[in-house]
Amino acid sequence: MNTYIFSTNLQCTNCRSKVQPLLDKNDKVSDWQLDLKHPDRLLTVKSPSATPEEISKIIARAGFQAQLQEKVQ
Amino acid sequence: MSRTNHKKQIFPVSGMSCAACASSVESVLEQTEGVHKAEVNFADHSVQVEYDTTDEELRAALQAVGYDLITEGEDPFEQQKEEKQAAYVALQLKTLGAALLTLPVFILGMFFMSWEPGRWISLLLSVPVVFYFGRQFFIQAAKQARRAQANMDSLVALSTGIAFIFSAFNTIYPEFWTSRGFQPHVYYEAATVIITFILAGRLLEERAKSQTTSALKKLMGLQAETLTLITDSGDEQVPIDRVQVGDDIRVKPGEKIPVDGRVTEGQSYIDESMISGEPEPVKKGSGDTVFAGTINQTGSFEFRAEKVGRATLLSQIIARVKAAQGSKAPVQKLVDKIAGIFVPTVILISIITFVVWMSVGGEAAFSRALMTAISVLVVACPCALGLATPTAIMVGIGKGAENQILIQDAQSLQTARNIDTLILDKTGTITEGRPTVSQIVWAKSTDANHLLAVLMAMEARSEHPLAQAILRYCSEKGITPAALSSFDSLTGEGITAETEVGNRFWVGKKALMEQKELQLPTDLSEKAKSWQAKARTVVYFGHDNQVIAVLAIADRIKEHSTRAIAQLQHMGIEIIMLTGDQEDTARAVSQEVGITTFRAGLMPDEKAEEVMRWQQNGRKVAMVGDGINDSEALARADLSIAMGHGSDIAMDVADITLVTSDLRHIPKALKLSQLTVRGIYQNLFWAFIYNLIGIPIAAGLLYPFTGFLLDPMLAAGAMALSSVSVVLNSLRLKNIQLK
Repeated sequence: MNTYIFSTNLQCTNCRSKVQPLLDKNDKVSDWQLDLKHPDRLLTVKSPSATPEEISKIIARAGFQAQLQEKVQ
Repeated sequence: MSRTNHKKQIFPVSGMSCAACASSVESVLEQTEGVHKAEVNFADHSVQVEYDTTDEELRAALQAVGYDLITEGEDPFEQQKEEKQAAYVALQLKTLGAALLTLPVFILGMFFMSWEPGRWISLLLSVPVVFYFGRQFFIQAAKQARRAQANMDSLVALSTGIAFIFSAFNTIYPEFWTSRGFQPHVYYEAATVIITFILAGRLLEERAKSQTTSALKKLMGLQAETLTLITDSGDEQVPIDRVQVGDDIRVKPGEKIPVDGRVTEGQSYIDESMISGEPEPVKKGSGDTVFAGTINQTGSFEFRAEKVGRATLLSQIIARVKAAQGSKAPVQKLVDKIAGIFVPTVILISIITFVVWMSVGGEAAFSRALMTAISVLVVACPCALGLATPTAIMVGIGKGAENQILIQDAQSLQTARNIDTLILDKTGTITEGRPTVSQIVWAKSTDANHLLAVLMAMEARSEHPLAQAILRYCSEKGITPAALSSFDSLTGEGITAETEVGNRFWVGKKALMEQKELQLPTDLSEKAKSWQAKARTVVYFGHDNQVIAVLAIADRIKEHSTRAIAQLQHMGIEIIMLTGDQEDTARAVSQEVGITTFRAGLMPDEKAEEVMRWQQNGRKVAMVGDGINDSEALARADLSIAMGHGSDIAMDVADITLVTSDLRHIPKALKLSQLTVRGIYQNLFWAFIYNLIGIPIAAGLLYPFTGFLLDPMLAAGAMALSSVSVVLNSLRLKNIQLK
């Protein structure tokens, strides 16, 4: 299991609701969290198999950007 | 692909709440195939897209991630209207051009027949009339011919075409006839006059049609364009297409309600006359429904949107009026039907004539055959047939206008005579349409004039809708309001005030009088009871410790309503009353005017359903109404009659408009319809009798017995005579008195 932390350009709960279905539906994503209070709007994604690029693409499909900040474990 | 091929359009976008959403929309669109550029304007929630895919693709792409694109595209109605307008202007120019060129041709042909150069001038002037201004007839005729059909256009094309070609031949090569012992005649005036006249007829018809579409335009004008949305960050002014179900909306006094919904906070009086037809503004508070297009009168309130866009009652009315208008049949059908049989028959007779003369004509067989064949076509010219309906209709419509009856088009006039069921709206049609003080009864020993001045001063400050009725009553009596030292509005109950000398007064419902323990004299209470039985609204006026007057307020029945209804019933027409008003008021009014069938508490679409219900029973239904709320039922009816004081929309939808709102004009209109339609049938008779007699003679049927051959000139004369008979018969209508 890998945990990736991305900085994103999502700003509000409405933005969150646009990416939510895409992340929830995706089999490769087992868990995710979005911290809108953080200045970098950190998105934490737990995934057993997905690469950071694949996750960035999912976010891009909703029209937003996500850049890998950190890989945990 | 070159840049110029891209479509570039601005769409409203919904679902964006921050700048990030805006950039999200941009990049989603830019990822979509076929999109070259997308620029979001977050301030007005729109996006400008350069693309060469479809609007639906763009919309689907955004919907997939939870936004929405409003792709109304170009308003098809607007586009249609523009096209129609352009066609109308073109027709106007055509008619004018044809008329200008036809006039000299007509003068030359009628009065200077033997002047040789006149033929050449006529030839030159006729070419543009027949082949430019009249080209639509030839195009239509060709289309009809390809499907082996014939209509009025075929007749026009054939007769004018042959008259022209024959005349042109005779002008250029007269020796063909003179060498055979015939006089070569020309018929340019016949060709050009027919075309000019038929064009003018079409123009009149188009004008009538274009007026009906402006009704829709006005209905659409009721729709608010912007609204005040209540958001977390305060009030926001947004365009109407951004509102969604569940949004909270604030409405200030004087504003239109933008969408259908339910009041959540505050209260106000709302003018719903466009929906319900009732003139009194309706009080709305928490939990009450409000409708798009109605107008907020007094207070500010908040409501939650429940139906938006095409789902609102107003949008549905618009859609239904559209559908109903489109479902009406064109006027020309009957004549076209006749022409459909008439034209091929005439052509056939003409050919038979030609063939017969060729085979039995002897020495001059060809010239005789040609001459008789043309005579047949000329004598059968549709001029009188073309005149039969329009002249009668023109006179009939003119006659109506003299009698304050405005008739929309020929179809209306034709339909009116078949009406057997008349549906009347109550408010504004049978009644005056606004509340009026019908009676005041004072307690004994009161100074009515002084107290009226106090009452007037109080009502002047009241926001209650009935206050207007009392104010009008007072000012008609010449009363000037007294001075008050204090005034208070007791919401939902009434008003109270104190005069400068310290007298306290109350105005309101009975409940208020009981609550303040005012004594009610028995004569006043009896009176109030009798009014209530007649569904009058009773207002109590109290002073100190007793009720000093009771007022009856009602929507008064118009002076002539009862008589008009009796007249119509006498004509064998069943009368039905519909109203959005409550049952007991409806019963009281219907009893007073002598109507036995009525239905109360109806919504606009229920009125229309009622019309359809009678239609399904095989009735020919006329609907009489005055409000926007009636417009759907009006459009649905076989014949719609609007009141002159009513809304413009009702008048535009209506087939017939009564300028003075006097119901007695309805029997007159029906009578006029009967006379006009009878006139049309007589005209058709005159148009055909000449043909029936003329065609065999023109074909040379008399020749074997008397040696008589109808000269094409005489044939043209007979044709003219039939036209004259038709016109004279139509003009006869003018002198008939309508009772």
